[in-house]
Amino acid sequence: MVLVQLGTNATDAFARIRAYAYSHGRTVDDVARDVVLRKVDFRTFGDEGSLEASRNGAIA
Amino acid sequence: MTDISREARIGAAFVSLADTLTADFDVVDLLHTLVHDCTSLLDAQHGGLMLADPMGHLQLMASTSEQADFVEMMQLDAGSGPCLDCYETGTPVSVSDIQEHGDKWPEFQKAALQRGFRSVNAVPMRLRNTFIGTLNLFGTGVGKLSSTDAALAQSMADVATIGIIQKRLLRESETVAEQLQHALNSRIVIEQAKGVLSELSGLDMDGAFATLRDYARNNNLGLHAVAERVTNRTLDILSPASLSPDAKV
Repeated sequence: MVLVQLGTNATDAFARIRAYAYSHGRTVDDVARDVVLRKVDFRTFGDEGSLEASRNGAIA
Repeated sequence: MTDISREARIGAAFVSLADTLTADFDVVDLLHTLVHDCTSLLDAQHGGLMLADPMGHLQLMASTSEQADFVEMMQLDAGSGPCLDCYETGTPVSVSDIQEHGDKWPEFQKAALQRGFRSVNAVPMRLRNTFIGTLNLFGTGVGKLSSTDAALAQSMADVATIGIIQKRLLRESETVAEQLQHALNSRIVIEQAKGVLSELSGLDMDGAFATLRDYARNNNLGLHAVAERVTNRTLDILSPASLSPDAKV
């Protein structure tokens, strides 16, 4: 799902999920579940500074 | 489907299993066929199938629903459950009432009841002394499989097991463990493809899998091959042009 959202491949998508999980102090499993439940959408974070954007509540 | 006799449906299930066992069959496809056919034939509402990886640890390979997925994964996480016992002992494990008799595996009991499962039958995937996994059928009602049905489940599991082990013999250099590792990798790609389809279409994971599988079936392609192309975005199976007239189930 994330690879579609970011227009990338599975390897990079996984790296982004891992980065997101790390910066939010959550597990990859946990984040993956939210992606499947469509609670987290990586499109909303933009290309760069994605972690910053999410911290600032850009998810909505 | 009451107009089709049960014997005919059983026959059809074995034919579809045999049909999956072509020269270069897709293991994950075979396992899905097996678990779906058993579930519909044997008065079970949900099914799951686990195979052992090269380290001897069970991995979930196929399931008929996200609920079954959850209960299977939960057992693997907890390291205990009737399906694990079935694999470890190489004998069927049957729990006719999970609420009454499931307290041997508290985590499993809780997860199963929470998902509406009341009974389970786990059947070993084995060929003589080689155990490769377990086929698990969940019921939303209490009760045991009849001995005929239990034998039927075992027969279908045996046919699939022979196919998997036979495939190994065809590729002499590969061990069962290596082959199961391939199957496992195949499953990862299929999960990724489900994600791609779900994201593009808004389908849930079960719907995404059905779409993937129907496309592979209708176009005579392996599930793994289709999944790979969906994941690397070289194949769009959602566009109307890619659907054959009867693709919708």
